[in-house]
Amino acid sequence: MPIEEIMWTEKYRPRRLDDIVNQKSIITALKRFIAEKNVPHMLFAGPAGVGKTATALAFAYELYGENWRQNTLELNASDERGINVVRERIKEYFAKTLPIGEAPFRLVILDESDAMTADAQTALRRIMEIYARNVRFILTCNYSYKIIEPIQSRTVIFRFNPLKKEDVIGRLKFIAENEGVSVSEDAYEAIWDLCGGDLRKAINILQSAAALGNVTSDTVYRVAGVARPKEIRLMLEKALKGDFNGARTDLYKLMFTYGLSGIDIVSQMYREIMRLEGGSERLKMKLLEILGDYEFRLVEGANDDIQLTALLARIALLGSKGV
Amino acid sequence: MAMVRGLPWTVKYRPRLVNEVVGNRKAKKEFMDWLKPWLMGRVGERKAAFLYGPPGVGKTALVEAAANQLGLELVELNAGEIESIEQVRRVTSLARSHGSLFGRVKRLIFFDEVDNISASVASSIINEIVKMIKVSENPVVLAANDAWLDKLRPLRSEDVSILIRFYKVSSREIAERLAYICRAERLSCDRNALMRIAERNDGDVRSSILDLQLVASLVGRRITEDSVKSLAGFGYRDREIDVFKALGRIFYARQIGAAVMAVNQFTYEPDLLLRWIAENIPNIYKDPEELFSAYEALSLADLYKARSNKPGYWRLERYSRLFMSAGVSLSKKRWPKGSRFKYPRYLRELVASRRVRELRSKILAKLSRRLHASQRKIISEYLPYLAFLFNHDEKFAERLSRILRLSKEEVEHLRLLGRLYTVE
Repeated sequence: MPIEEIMWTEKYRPRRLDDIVNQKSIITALKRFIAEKNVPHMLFAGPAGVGKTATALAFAYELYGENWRQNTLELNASDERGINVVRERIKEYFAKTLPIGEAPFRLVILDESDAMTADAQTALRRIMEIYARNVRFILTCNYSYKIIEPIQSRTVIFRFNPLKKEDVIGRLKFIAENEGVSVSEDAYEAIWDLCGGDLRKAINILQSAAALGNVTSDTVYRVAGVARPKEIRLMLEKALKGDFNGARTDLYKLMFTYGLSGIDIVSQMYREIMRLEGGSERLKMKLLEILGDYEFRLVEGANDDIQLTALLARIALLGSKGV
Repeated sequence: MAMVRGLPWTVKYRPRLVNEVVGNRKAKKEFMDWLKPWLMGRVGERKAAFLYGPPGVGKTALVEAAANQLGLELVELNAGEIESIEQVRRVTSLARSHGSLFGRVKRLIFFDEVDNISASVASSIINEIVKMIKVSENPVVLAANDAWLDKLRPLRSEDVSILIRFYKVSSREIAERLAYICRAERLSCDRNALMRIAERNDGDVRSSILDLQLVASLVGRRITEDSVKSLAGFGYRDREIDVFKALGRIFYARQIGAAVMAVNQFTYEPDLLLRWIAENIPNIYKDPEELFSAYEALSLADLYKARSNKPGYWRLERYSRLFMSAGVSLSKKRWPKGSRFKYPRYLRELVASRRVRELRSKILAKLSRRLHASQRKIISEYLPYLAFLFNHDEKFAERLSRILRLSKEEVEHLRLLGRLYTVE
């Protein structure tokens, strides 16, 4: 049983280019590439959850038909450690598999390519040249300015539009009907309020809310809190009250019991600080400034436990001065 | 002076039979249950036994005792000494054949201390060992202190090995073994003295025996509690005394030089000391400004350590030592009250938390492949909702477990995450 049967984001992922919502001019161009069997390297840029990866996968499907998986290599720039790994994966892919059907070239989909450093991108550009005869790359990214010029100049850049409210709600209604879930009108409004044009997040919230029964704006807002564990908020609140030891105990639980990494915790803290109740805007800015300082230290390779403990001591100091 | 000559007692009293191995009953049984089918020539899937646990608790002893007891030829390679893949291949050829002409298993292949494989060759050596396990006609055993290192991931994969965990041995069991040795050496010893030696060595049988021999060689045939006590600080293995000394000198130092010297004279890994300081800062410093200043110093020490590991930056390590010691010392505004030092929670939870992270990354990898998203994206965009659905929708949980082929532990971890990602 594939995961499409239980995860709605997968079940309702568009299979065909025609199913992609609100990217008409891009789809027209892609279809022409397929018809002429003339495919350039491409760069898909745009915000989260608007269908970049979905479009790339649908494109592969329409290009190769049932054999698309054998002719497509999916890589994630943010997971593969370093460009050498990317190179090895591509090399291995060519050494171990043969193209199926009459495809003159194969497809490499490199997701989140803006996570690569400029050096890695330079190396990527070399790889694109080496395999130019038999590979077409589709790179996806949130921000095209983070992609170096030489790659931009070698790719056809497609900018994905943010999804419109009626598109998102229309899709959600289709899903709800198909799944036999009852959803109130204000629930759709609530989802739009929370997710904007991020369809992936919208669908995940809809599915989670449906697990609690009929979907109302109330259940939507409750479920939206799922992604914001209260343990993080409590830890932050304790630190701000000057209860350093209590906050440290919470931190250890998050790290050792739940297995969260330092970066996971910092990302969650970022969201919590933004929504901190009863905190002035000035305090939030101060906290974010501190957070950024320690996140930078983590990125530089320091230890999660030491840095986050120091972060809590810093926040406790701020708290003890009365905020 | 007693005449303690010849072999170290750790060698002289090395167990010859499996039931002479002290403690770790469960691990011994698991090991023998794994070994039996090999002896009877009825091996299903070829998997190695991967023994792991702290030093001196009998991993190597068990393997050697089993080989001796069952008449197997022991082919042993200390993984820390492997420099080239050829060395492994030579063992592989031994592993593929039998020691005798008659189809029975005659060899026991043993890679000791696999966590010590040097980083530069680790991945190729480990791949070679995995290959060997898959083709070996003879049982293969691996041993390590820490099985959860990233580089060992291929070796602990479920279809490559079964993990057998060894624990620290209880002081009572160690003391019994020491009493046995005393009888054999015709030493008179008092039980409290032996308990004391055992406790000092914190579950490590090998170092307990070494200490017994040291005590005997220094004080003679009568070993009393006092004679053991008198040895504290005299070549006596005692990590904690070292740590406590260094901590005291760091927290109470008034000058930079004295504080830095405390770290420079600390003979164990600086990282260990870093965790001890981190744990104990709030016990010594109570004022928020002192707390912040001390942790900030520690944070910088840690940061400079990370920087100094980069090529060309080694000189920065001295700043790490400086901040870790003097940075912490000079954070005090007034003279702190004395306090007992606590054992770091970080160290206590290290092994357990590595297992958790291992589980987490296994689950993430499975999801990443199927959901066309990076692990980062899985964590931020999918995992909270997935874990929530897992705990609120039984059918979903049951199907997801099947789709991802989740192990029992992975299911438990997702359930646990469901308690983190929940509605209020």
